[in-house]
Amino acid sequence: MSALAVFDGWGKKATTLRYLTLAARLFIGAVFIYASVYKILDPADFAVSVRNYMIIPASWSNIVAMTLPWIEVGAGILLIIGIFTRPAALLTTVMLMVFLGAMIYAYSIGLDIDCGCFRSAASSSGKVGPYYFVRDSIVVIISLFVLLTDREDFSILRLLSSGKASGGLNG
Amino acid sequence: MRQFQGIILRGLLITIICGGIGLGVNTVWSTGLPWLYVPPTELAFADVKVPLVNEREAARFLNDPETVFVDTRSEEDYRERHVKSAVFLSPDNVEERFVAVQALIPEDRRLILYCYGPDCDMAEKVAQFLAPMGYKNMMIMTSGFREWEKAGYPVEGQSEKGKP
Repeated sequence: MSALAVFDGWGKKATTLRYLTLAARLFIGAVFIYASVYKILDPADFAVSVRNYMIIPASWSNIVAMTLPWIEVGAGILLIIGIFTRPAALLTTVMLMVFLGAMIYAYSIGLDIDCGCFRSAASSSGKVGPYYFVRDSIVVIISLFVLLTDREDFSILRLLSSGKASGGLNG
Repeated sequence: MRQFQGIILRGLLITIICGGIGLGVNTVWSTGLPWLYVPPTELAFADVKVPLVNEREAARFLNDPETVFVDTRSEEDYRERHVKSAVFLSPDNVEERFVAVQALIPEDRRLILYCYGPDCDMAEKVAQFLAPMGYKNMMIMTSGFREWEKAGYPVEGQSEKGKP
């Protein structure tokens, strides 16, 4: 039973929350599919980015670059079509929290993720910083919202099965 | 609790399947990556081979009069601290800066270039500029200034650390 079940007796509010959950699910799914495309097309460049964060051994960077984008696109697709949405949302939430943590770590040690170098704060490239922390924190919260509230309403399977049921009644 | 366990297990299943697809695609792709990343041991610019060394190998040349260390980081970081007796030459506006330091780095000397760390490409950019200028004996200290200082090798600058 999802957290949304507590609103079952709430009529319109429950419906509103279901639509909000749908919107959040589609947003996170679209973000992850969009973010994964260039990484799938250019894994070598993504591997360099992974090494620049300096949070895992450099020798592992290629394996991360080969697998992470496909996990992102898989989770994104599942969220869009509404199947296994809560496991997919768990993955997106965990990935987003890891990305946010990596950015905060890089910022705290003065790491310029463009080159994997340490620069003075005045000359850093600006790819990490308070604006990005706030932006990504909001996305984490949206993903967490989907994890806690989604009940696979509006999933493609339900739409197909409800379509068959109405077709059977009419047929 | 049981429901959350189910979510975690399905999440792991998705991870394994999608990760497996990624590894499979990489295997059949002509431009696929090797599974383990191995850093290169040398680079080449304009037919000049530039070996990549770590801080221990570079330290052997510290007191060699035929060797000059070249700091390719930002000027602000160079002023704060740099390898003892290193010359500053950043890839930013390198043609102008080179004119100012050319007398300090004769072409026949061994140059050891460094920047911040292993994935910093500033030393490569400066080496790429110097290779066609007649510099045939260059190395890049890929571990960078960070590891040099951590190892306690001599540094100098406005705020000094390390051994004299």
